[in-house]
Amino acid sequence: MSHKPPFSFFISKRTLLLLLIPSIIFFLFFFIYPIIQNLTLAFTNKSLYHYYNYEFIGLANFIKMFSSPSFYIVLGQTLLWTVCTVSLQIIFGLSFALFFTSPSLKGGNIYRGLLLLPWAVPNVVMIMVWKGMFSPTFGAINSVLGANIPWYTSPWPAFLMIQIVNIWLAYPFLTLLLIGAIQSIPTEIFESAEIWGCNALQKLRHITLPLVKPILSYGLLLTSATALMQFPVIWLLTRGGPGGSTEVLMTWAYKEAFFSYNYGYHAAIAMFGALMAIIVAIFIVKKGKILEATVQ
Amino acid sequence: MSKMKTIAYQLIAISIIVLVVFPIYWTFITSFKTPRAGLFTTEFHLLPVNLTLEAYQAAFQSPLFNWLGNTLIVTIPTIILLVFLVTPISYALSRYRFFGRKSIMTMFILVQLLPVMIAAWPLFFIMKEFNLLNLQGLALAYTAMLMPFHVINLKLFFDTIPAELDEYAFMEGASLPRILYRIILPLAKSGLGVMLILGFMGVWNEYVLARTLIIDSGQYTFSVAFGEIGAYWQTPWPVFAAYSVVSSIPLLIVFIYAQKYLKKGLMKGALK
Amino acid sequence: MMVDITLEGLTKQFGKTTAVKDLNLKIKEKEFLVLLGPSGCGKTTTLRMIAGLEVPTKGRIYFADKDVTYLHPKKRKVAMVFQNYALFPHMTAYENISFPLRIEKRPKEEIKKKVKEIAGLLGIEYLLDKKPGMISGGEAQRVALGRAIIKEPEVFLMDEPLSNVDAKLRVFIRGELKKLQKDLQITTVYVTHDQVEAMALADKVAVLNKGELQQVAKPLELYHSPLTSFVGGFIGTLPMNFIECSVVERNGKLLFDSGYFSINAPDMSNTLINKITSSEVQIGVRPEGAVVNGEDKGDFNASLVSLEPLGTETIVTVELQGKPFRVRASADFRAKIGDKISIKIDKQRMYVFNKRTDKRIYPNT
Repeated sequence: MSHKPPFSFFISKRTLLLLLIPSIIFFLFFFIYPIIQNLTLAFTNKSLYHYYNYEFIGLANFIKMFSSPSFYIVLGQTLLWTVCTVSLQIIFGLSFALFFTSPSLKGGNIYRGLLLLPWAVPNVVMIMVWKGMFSPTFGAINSVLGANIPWYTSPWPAFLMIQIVNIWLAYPFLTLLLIGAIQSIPTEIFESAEIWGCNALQKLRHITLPLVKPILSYGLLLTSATALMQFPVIWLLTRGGPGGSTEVLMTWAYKEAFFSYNYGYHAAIAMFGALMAIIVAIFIVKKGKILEATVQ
Repeated sequence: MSKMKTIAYQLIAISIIVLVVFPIYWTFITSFKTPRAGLFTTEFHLLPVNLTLEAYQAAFQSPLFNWLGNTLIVTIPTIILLVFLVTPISYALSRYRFFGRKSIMTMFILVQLLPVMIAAWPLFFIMKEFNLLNLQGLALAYTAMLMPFHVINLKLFFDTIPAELDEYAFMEGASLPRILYRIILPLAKSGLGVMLILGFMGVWNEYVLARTLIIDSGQYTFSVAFGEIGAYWQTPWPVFAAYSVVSSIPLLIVFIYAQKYLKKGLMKGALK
Repeated sequence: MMVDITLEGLTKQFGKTTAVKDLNLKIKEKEFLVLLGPSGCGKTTTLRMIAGLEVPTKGRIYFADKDVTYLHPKKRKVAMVFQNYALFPHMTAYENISFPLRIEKRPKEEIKKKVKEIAGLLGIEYLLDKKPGMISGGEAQRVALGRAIIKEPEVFLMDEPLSNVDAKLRVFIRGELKKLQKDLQITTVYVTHDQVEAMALADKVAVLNKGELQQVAKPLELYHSPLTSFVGGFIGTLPMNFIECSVVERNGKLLFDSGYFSINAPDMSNTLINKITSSEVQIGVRPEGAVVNGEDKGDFNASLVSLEPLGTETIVTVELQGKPFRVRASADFRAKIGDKISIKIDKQRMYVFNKRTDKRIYPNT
């Protein structure tokens, strides 16, 4: 049994500060401070015209946001996108994890390694490759299907496209996580269940799923947060189109900043999105009791 | 019956893998087609009819290597800075109980949930003020972005190294830098391997910050460049495929190289 | 030059918990002292304070006449062997053993000579270029020892070094350790929770419980003459039996009444009687301090709970006051579970402890 710190002699207070301060200051300045600045920016009118001489305008940005009809459309689309992609990721992640750890699968090791392939190639590259494959005229997808689906120009096909691409990019995360969780269940538990005559379905329901639940909650947390605030995948594939049908909070916010230079408004939208993500996160954490497990 | 099951499983597994691998495979194949013909691709040429390196020639003459070089220019300082900033704080978190320790760790854990977008524009303003736009500022921003995960990760890794080693070295009069860099870090090789691989991946996959902070098109990292290419359809498919293949190589190399470290690290732990 | 160690009023607090409470202990030079006690009794903390890894909250530590309480470990000339050896996994045995000298930047030739010497002494020359992952537990232990003695320390500190060793190997290494200490004549402080180890190795044993020193004595004295009920119960492979009694007066005589039976209080002087500050006492009886008495009238009858025939003797366990009461009986003792067994306590080998203070009242020497 090893004794825990503090080593009173070992690290003097001064050395400790020396270890901590540079890193903390760097991080605060280059990450925390910008975030806080964005928070305050949401209450100002900073834009191209008010770059240096911007002023505090209270809740004006938020009022503008809540009274704009596009907000509700975008919000709805964001939620739809999130629910769909998270559900699909869980379905695929769990199924793959269960399937590829199954004892009936010979060579599971190799397959599990191959599952990682989407990560071996840079994200951006693959997003653009997929985009090309979905090209209505020259793309592989339409060729194989022998159809002429308007992936770029029609709302529902576009939605399907971004879902498919996102799943392809994201499934390794939950899959790996769950594979790790499943493999950490001692085989003796399954063996004793067999002795009691459990069949595969019962094993799944009473052993695997409950034991995997904490890690699944953690995965759900990260997946949901990422999905709510997703930007690169949707932006690069559709830029929020066609006709704003795949616009989500973050693409909308980005457009406000990048094209309209409305930095204050952008901040308001981004902050709202972040708030939503935080609420969802709190909800999941409370339900899954994750935080105690990780902070020690 | 059991044999049927085994075969069925194999078939399913193979089908899934085929579907997953398909885009990568298609890209690879396409890169060997002639730039004009590639436009009318049907994927059932499992092997391309005419192999040609024209696409690669075009790729080599393009700014591709400029972009890749830029990305490398960002990655290397980021990783180096990351190691120097993360090691001390992870070490302190692992070995010393101090006031605010839990808060710092919680902060690093929670911050990982926030998307980079939320800091993007203020970072732009900051970098502009200090004249650090483009690649220099990007490296700094990336380091900060990568810190939370790696601080926690390395701290957990340090936790697996028994504190008695530190204590013993200390008793013999070893100074803190010596302990950190001659004893702890060599033992944390696999932890560093993870940092290398994930840090590399983190930078090479990143789009938002790069798009926001780089205003000089000559300094585009390939993430940004790819985003532009795809949007404007100026590049024939095979050339684009060639770009893709070439851009994937650095990541693959790092993957393979770091794999060795990861395997070693896992083995050592088992022997204890 | 060997030193004696004096601990004066040593106290260590971690936040609200007091790990070591006002410890006063003197360790003679060249003595092998074992700090013995259950988990959390403060023995490891005390060791670490002697080493310099912890700073006492109160009190002082002296090596000979020198106050070392706040002195940096490397200046104390101590060597420490940890429970899990604390060998550097990425260095060879040679590099591990030579580490202390390399820190001091001694010349290479000198280092080489010394390591060879030590390796010869411990019989580990053959593994000098191997890494800890490639040698056995016992070998690693020796490397750790080599590393400890290479700088000729004045004090040897060991923190449960045998806990991670195979049971069979443990007995063997124990003997080696004792021999090594006698050969090198180094003042040694050894921490363990295993009382068998303590009894086998120590010149003197200091028993601690909850941060307080219970007793310091030679092993046999500890066994036969425990000063507190804790020591009585802790020492001895078979635990001491305790009978809770109230002190009553009947017909002018003092009796210990357990609720099931009474024993005449032994002759005690008045001063002793005054020491019985409460009316509750504990009678301590070792398993060999009672006899299973088939025919004669014993002190009490109790029902048999279990019988363990060991070949040389039989351990008889009966139930008294809801607890097990063990007696050593002859090898051919027979009985059935549930039988009523008669037990007689040997009054010459009985101990009486004050229930409130845990201190021994009788025998009073």
